[in-house]
Amino acid sequence: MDKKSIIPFGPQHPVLPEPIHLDLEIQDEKVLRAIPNIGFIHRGLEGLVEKKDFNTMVYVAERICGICSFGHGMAYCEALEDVMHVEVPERAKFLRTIWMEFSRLHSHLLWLGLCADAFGFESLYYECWRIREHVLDVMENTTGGRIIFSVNQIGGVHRDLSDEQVRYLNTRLDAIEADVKNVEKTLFHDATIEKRTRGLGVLTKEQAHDLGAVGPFARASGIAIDMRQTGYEAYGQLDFAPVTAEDGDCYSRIVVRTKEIYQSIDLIRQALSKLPKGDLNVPIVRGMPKGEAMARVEQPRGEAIYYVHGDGTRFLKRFRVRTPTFANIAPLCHMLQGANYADVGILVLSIDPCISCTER
Amino acid sequence: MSQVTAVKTTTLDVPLESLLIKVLERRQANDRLVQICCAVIDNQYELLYTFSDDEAWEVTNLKVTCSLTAKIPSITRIYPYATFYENEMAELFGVPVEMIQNDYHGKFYRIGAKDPFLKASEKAQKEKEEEAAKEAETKKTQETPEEAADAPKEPADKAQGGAK
Repeated sequence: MDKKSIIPFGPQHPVLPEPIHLDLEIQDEKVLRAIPNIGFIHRGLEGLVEKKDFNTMVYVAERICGICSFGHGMAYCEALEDVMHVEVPERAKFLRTIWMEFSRLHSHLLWLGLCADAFGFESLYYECWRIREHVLDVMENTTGGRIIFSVNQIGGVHRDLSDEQVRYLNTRLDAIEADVKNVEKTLFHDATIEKRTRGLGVLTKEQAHDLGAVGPFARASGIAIDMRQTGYEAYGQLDFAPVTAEDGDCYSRIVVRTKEIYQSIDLIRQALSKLPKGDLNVPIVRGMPKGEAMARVEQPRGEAIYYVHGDGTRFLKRFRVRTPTFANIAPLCHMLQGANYADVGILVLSIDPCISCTER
Repeated sequence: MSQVTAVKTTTLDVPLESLLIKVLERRQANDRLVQICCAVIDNQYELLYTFSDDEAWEVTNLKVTCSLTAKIPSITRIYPYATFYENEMAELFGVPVEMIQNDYHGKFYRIGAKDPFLKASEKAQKEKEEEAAKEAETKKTQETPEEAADAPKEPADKAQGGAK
């Protein structure tokens, strides 16, 4: 009988942007079981609620992760606004939506590049990241930051878009869309990409549901759930439907994320065309957060939960974040069972792991 | 315009002994486990189990409030992927969850400090409760020999089978 071996994958690995360790039980180049080990970048950020008051915690929240930064800050503010019964002005909601979708654009382009690099397609990797640079330029122009924007505050935002910037955004979006269309030809029709990803790491719709998968990972298996459908911020006034695929393999995940790039571009255009005039924020003049609330948003990687509990003082009792990658670890481990050892890298990457978010 | 779905959220206060039954009900309703959150409020654990019916857009929160020494049953037999949430709250808050499948034994996040998210006052309260529980257990064990001493003795001839 062939012997079983335990081979460590990570925490340092060329395909991994962040450290995660998997103990892979291997027999004959096939993975029998994957046991995850995390904790390499746990920073205990949630525990900082004891030291940072609820206003300053926005800056901690948006530093949970660099890729999903805007979503963290925005959702934290949403949860506090729910507790404190603050109504955010319409203009601020639209601005948050625009920046959130730009954040999704940059995240998906980053992932497409890493995915291409994982199967050795370096020119495609560079091209995706070159397009991403345009998105980062837009973010720097409008918020002052490329990765960490720091525009959210409880009650709204503290940056605005001028009419000139709105025109600039529309022009840049046209260019980004044209660039992505060029890349799409390779992504969807290149024989090597199809060979490496079709039929790989199949997760059926039932398995995805039973294991609690979220985000594009779940939508690639046919689960048409997107938290933006709940209509938070300005999403209720925009027209869109969840992007799904049916095969549940790595190729489907590439297709879903690429189509979501176009969806984000469309959502930004809609939001820019409907951007109302008005205030950017409402001042919080009285009261401390007392009570609990939960915000659910659609981060680039999926559903993220932000729970806050205030006791009437300026320090929250609890701030808890459940990020999408945390929910996707279990289906990842299931997906790795029966896979070839050589495919582990691309399979792990296919869930778009964000370990900074997972560990906080 | 896409359909805006209003999410119906229900929060139920659940006694600890009914937790598993309520979680099983959620499983039978085909709900997805969204998250498990632990907080310490007024020197008690407040555990929030969130489930989502994604098709009907309904969220059910099961809130369990218990002492810092209460034993929490693991729900991993019902939702296997709850293991990560339970390991997390066991390591960060010292929640005594019993029978977790894939128990990392406090090494999930590899944190050197014990119960790092508990404040000093909460740790002191927990130690006090654990001491009180230990004392109660010791007292219970120590009563047994005393009870045996107090118990009425049988007559000697009867004890020897009535032999004369």
